[in-house]
Amino acid sequence: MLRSLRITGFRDFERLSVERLARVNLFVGGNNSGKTSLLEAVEILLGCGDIHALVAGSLRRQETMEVHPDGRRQYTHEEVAICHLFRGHKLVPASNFRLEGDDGEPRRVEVGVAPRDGEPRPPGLYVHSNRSAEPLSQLALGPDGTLAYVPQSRSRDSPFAEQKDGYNFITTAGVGVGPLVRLWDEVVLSPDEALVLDALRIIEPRIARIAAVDREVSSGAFMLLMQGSRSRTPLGSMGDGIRRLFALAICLVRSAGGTLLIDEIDTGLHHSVMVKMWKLVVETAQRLDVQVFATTHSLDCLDALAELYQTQPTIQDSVLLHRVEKGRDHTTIYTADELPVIAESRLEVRGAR
Amino acid sequence: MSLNEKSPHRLLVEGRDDQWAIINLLARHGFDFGDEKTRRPAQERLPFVMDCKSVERLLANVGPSAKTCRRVGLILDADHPPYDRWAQIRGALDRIDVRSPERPEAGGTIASGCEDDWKIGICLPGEQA
Repeated sequence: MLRSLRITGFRDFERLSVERLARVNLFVGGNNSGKTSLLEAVEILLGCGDIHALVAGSLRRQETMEVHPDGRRQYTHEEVAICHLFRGHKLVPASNFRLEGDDGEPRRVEVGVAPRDGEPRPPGLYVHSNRSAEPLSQLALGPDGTLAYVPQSRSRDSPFAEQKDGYNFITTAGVGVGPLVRLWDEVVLSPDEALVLDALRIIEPRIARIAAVDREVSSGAFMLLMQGSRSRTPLGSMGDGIRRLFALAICLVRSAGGTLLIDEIDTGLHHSVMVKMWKLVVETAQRLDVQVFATTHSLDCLDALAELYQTQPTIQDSVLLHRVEKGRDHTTIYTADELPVIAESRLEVRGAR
Repeated sequence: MSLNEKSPHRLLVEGRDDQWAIINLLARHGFDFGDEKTRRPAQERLPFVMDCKSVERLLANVGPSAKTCRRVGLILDADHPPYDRWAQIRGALDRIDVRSPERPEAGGTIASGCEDDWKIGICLPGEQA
């Protein structure tokens, strides 16, 4: 579990220090303050500079161009405009960024342009990680400074950037039905199925079973059987946002012992289910040893976390709220016991002072 | 008259009496919360005078307000011995990593900490006691 984080020269951050991290970390801030970039920095740091982690954010942001050498028919790879990872959106010989964290031991990834001025080799990126089997790797760049990348199968529509390294990323678009069915297929009849059900019962204690029944119809893809009932209920009929909560439950379970990054955690959720959502996230993260990094713009989302603290003060050490401000070199940190005060006093913690 | 809770400045007071005493005092000095003509140009400068409803809740508001607002002031009743009051204020500042001396300094105390640009001034009546 990361205890602190330092970002230097990555995307719009000249320097950002997050001095403390908890099990569940919620980041707020104005538009373009860098909340999503912060999640991407964690992703690259945990990916030890692996190319899939390096370009995952660029793919999500569509800072890419599909390449079809054979007219429009044959898709071969993406050209990733890697310059956007660096401050100023430019690749110059001095361009580099550094991500550092502490999970008991120092963890560091540094990415820069190689070779430097005057060296004869073709331009490329060097990626240095103190946790990788290969501490220093080089990636060739095209003449226009793009990185050729062949997406892994599934990665274009998967909610996850990369699963094998112990971290998962849920985007603002959430998880579509197709990827959700595939995720469910991965957990069904495994020990994880019971964990997903346990997590979902935090929201609806009467859930007995879940099944994917019709893979062609998006609204009816999942059915629930409630305890004491003889007929099955479509997941979609359970109310707004239940699919998002189902996806959260699966992703939390799939992140056991690792990290879950969630951009705009409140997307698609009515304020009435926010407290249950936080209960699901915090309790499951505690139980399955998951560290959560989430962002939000929503005041309802903050109020719900405050409400959860008031009913469960034991989450005090598990939750931190961070405000990210453009141009400020560290996050402002609020502890869980301050959340009810913030909600009651209508303090605007999300924006600039 | 409406108080602007979105103001970047907050003045924390213990109760409703203090809230209105401050608002009327400010009005006598030209900061009239009820006068639209005065308010409009000065709105950004007028603090949200917040009735915290108790001294305990006022002290709980010190940390979150200091981390959020541009300027924060607090007004506490002088109904406790100065040293007890000082201990309460110290406790609230300590929770946001602001270190203050064990005893208030004669002529007022200035503390700093937590954020580089923070300065905290505290004036207690009879603080030399």
